[in-house]
Amino acid sequence: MKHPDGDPASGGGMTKEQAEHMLADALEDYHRHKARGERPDEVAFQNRLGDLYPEFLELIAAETLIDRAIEPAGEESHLPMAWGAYTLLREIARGAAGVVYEAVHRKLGRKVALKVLRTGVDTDETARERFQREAQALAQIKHDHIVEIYEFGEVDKRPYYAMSLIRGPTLADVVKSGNLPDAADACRGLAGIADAMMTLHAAGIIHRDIKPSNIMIDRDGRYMLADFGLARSAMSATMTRSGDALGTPLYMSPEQILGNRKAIEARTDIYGLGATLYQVLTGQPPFKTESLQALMRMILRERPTNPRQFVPDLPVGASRIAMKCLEKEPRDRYESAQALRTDLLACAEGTRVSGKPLTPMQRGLRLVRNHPIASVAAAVLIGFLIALAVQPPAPARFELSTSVPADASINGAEWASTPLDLTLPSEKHYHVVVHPKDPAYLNRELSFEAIPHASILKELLLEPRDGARNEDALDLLRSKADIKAPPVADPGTSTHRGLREPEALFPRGKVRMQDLSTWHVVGEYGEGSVDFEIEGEVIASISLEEAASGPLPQALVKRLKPGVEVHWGVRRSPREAIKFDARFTIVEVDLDEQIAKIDTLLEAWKNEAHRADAARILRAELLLKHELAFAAWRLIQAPYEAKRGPLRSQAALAMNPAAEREDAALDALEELRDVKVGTEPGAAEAHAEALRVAKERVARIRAEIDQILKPAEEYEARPEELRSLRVLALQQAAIEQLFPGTTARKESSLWAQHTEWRKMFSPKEWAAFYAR
Amino acid sequence: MDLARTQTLIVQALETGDEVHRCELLEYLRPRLVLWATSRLSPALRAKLEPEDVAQETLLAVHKSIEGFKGTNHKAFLGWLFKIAENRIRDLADHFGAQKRQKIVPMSFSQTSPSTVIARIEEVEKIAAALKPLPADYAEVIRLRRFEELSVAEIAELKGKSANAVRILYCRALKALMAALADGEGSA
Repeated sequence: MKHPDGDPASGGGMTKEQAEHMLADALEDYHRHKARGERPDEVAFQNRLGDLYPEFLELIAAETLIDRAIEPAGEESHLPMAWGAYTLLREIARGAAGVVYEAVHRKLGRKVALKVLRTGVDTDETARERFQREAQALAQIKHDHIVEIYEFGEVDKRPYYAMSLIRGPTLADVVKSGNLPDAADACRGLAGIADAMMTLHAAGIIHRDIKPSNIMIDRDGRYMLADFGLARSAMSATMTRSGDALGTPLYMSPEQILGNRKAIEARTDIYGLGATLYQVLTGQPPFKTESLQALMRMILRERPTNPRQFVPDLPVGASRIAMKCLEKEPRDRYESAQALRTDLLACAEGTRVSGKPLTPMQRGLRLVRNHPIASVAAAVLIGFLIALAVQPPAPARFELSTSVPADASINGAEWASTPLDLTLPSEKHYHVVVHPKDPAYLNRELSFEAIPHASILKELLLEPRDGARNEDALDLLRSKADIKAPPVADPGTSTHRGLREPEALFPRGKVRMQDLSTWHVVGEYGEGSVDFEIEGEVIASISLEEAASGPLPQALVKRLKPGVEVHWGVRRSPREAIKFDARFTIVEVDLDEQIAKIDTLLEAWKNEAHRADAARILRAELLLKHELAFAAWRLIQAPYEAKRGPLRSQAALAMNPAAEREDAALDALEELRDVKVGTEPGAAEAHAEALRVAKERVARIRAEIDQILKPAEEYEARPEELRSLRVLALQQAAIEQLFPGTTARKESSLWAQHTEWRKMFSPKEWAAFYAR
Repeated sequence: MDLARTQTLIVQALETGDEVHRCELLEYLRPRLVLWATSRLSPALRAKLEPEDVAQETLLAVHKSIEGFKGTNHKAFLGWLFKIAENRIRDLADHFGAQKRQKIVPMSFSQTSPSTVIARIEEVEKIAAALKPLPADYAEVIRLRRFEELSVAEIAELKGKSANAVRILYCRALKALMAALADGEGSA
């Protein structure tokens, strides 16, 4: 049965008309089924249509494409759905990064499993490129135990690949069913996978995600390795999100847990196969625990329970193979997939296996001396060397402290809580620190050398991962710089974003020479002059009509020196006393050293935004500690002042054609108003109607503009929310210093209002006020 | 037909008479109206009118008069909707006939999230581009069957053809649409 594409009529002895009738009837029946809420039986359609089936699928594809355009919904609701040359029939599996569909190639009529990179997760360029590179490499590999990849490509910028459709359970399904294969069968089956790994590794491909759910068993009982290419991105997704939705790293190797990409090699896959074997033999994964954090720690530090404890009559060989694969150090596992395969086959045949996990003695030695650096390249360590001081002759001393008590391990030895104080041989070492609250925070390690006769004091500043919220890290910095943070309001009740500058005169309070450059008056004070006095003598006078702010007058600047107090304010007439006055005193405080210290400490922070944030917060706190409230206020307020106002919203608007249309609509309205209305009957009415339409148009565009501005404003508020509590505390502390006591507060009417309103309104209302 | 969500929305909007539901429904119908108009407008009319304008004007008219529509049947509603759309095309064609074309500003009825809107626009544009080169009878049968949701029997009666002829015409139209879509992909 051969026929040219798209013309089935020439094939099955049918005329073109007959073929068309068949298709039309089938489509009608298909809809009848669907209208009744039934799932049309594709096998029946396939049998009925024979060679016409691909064409039938084309028709359905066209319909679903139309329907999807006029009724967009979830993809599933429109299955079957056209996907390039394929029609997706049903979802088989859904993983962290991809969805696998049962699909059919419409032209070839071939059923395939189609894996599509999921949108949202890692669909950036690099993920796509990686996906395609791997698909390309895999498409060239043919192996009895590797699911064959037919083709790969992209549809709507979403990469996919088509592989052979295996109708059979995965090993995970088998384990779940509780109907475990016997050890010999499991070993024989997995030897096939080890064989597949040999081929992959020879081609330079590391699977990275060997686990029961990625091994399928076909109808002949053959184990088939599936699910490539997404493994790496799947891992990073799991590492960054601790939620269960993306799967737990039950089968991940220690080097993967550590996020050490360079250390991932062929023996990472051997670990995965070992974990799979373990599960198939015992019915459970090597490590089982409630929390992800605990699981990660177990993978890093604990030995799995001997499989024979679960299954007493398990052959020793099988248990040994699993345990050797599951060694923490890659070099302690099988050196190659080939060696593993040999042992698996030996176990299947009941002969002696050669591989042995480490003995307790060897393991004990490991704790003392270890040189794992060769395989574990140094990852980024958010740490810094505080001191490297020469000590009396002795082996090297190593002290490790962290910003919060954390679990640490040196050279893979037993875990202990920081601070640690150890004596180490003078050679290279590494350590791992796990943040107690943040399980994903554990890929911290370093290759460091213990220098003879020296002492190393190491302090790890666990960098905040969520903006300014990590108070622990800030606290360590504070203790170094000897500063105290103002108390932060209860996050449950405080949602407001920040305080505006009170209505008053600035500068005021204690100031350093370097803080002085301009004066400004916030609020309306009417007419008069701004006068500056030192010890009752008027040094300078500036008319308020001219400016409400400006550089400090030269005459005044010349007189400024530490210890001088300036009294200034608004004078309505020469005879009157200064009103709305403020005083500032010049003080001499040298904070350079402490600021330099903060900066040095912060150098270790890799995230620039966090670093800048922390630097500003700590500087402001330092200034407040020295009662330099004016400088602190300026510092903490500056970025928010700059951002406040509709700046960004305006930008959003400027990028939208609505703004232009508003102008045009307004112009049109103006023109209409200027038109001379004729005297003929109905002219006045017509003009009035035209005016009404034009007005409506303006109103409509304005409403549209409001719609544009609203999300932009909401967006603008967001970054502030993150830091709001800390910043608000700083602002309040600064204002309290700037306006000490009640008298000072009365001076600022706005501030007084704030205080009153705060009593009157709920936090929510208060927040709403500031939102305006 | 497999456009269950539209059905639900129509019934919901008609039964509750609630403004929010109505607006949601109207916005929901926009892509359908755009495609409907694309297949409805002759090439000559298309030079004067944009399908988007027809959709917009129709939605405004429906919004104004939906209060007066009695009935809760979704098919009746669709019939009424497309009758209004036909009228709007006539009015617009008259109105814009002589004068310079001016694009109508689309106004949104409901607030769909931007991403859905974009996704819809892309899909709609693809289909619209594929509809334009189709022969008139192909475009018509797709319009009646998919957008107006008429049954084969109804179309047969309307066009004075046999049901079989309609069915076959529809299949040919779908095939041509698929080919046009493939062309679009190729040239894009």
